Amino acid sequence: MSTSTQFERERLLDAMLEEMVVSGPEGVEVETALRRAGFDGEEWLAEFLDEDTCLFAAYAQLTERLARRTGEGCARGEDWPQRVRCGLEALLQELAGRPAAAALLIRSFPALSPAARGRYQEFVESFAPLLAGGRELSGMGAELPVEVELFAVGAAEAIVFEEIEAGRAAQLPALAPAILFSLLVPFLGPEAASAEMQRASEVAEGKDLEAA
Amino acid sequence: MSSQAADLPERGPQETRILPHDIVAPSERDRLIEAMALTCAERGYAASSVEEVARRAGVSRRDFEENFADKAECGTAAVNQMLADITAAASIAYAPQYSEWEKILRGVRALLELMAARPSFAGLAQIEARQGMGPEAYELYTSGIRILEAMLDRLQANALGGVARPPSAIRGAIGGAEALIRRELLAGRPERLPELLPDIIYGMLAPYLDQQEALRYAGLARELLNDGG
Repeated sequence: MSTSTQFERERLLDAMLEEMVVSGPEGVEVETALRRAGFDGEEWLAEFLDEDTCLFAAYAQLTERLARRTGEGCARGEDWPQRVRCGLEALLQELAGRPAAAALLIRSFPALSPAARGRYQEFVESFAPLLAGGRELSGMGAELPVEVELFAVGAAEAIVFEEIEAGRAAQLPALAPAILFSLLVPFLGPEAASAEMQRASEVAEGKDLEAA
Repeated sequence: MSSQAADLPERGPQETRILPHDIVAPSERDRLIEAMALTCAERGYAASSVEEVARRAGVSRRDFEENFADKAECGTAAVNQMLADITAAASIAYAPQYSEWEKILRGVRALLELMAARPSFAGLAQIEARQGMGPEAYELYTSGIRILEAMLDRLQANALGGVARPPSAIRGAIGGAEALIRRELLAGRPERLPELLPDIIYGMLAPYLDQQEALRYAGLARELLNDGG
């Protein structure tokens, strides 16, 4: 696919995503999304004849963007706990900035079908490799349970899910230190995880002061 | 609600009386609840229809309507049943002769075995009620989580001292276990759920205990699993 076609495809999927956010996945019409993206339609309709395919592609675009932002955040950290903190903060900022998209991510799209719920689960699981560095840092390596990375991701996801579901997505960044504790504790133990949580709170307070 | 005996003479076509082999509950209401769980496991809640659930339970639509106002009521009844079973299984494991840590270990084992034995209901309570059904079912799901949180909260008194834990640590400890459970259910591997016991025990105890101590309990969980004791 050429760069311009790729760009147009992304533009269409963005429009589809907006349409899903506004109308809900069940109320989406491909034609409306096409108009929103400024296409006359027919050639793109050929690619997305099946509305489900279009919905799933738009959802994939959303999850890929969130994963990319998280990865970019991780890259800003110098050591492993800091990488996890920066990645988490980047993700929470994204979700907080678009509460309606956050609700689509966790609830209205997965509600469509078992396949849609499967996509959400895949998205959640995709974060587990980002935590692999914790195993080495813990000094316990293979002694730690095989599933510890997914367990830690699931711990964070449960807290984030409840906040979004309760309509508090905008407040997610303030919870970053507490969520960080749950992400780190299986690798570092409660004392070190608590210290990192404290450090994250101090960093956040510093940012708040700077912003003020 | 009508009794099964009273309903029989009023039933519709003969084929509605033939029970599929996968529905064994004695009462009509229980059969409908079981059929709802099985249908949702195959098609998801949104795509499950009253007609299909009734057919699967071996009853007519009219029989369905005598038991439940609509699909949502039947769905929440199924979620409720699983929550009641989960609470009962966990409560039995909470016998006074065990330490708080052993209670968690035995309670989680009971839950995993229950979910492995009843994967349709587990999927309904763990996945559909959370993301696929209406607000009432989600409320039931969260009330189940709150019960588990209360059980886990008892660990605070015996936890490693001098550590500031956020209030959300308990939700996280349960959420980690849920992620593993959901992965197996979505992948159609419910029989593997009991094998997750050591990893789940480690993850649930990690916020409260020194890591070596949490690993020791994970080891005990492995022994419990191997011995079947």
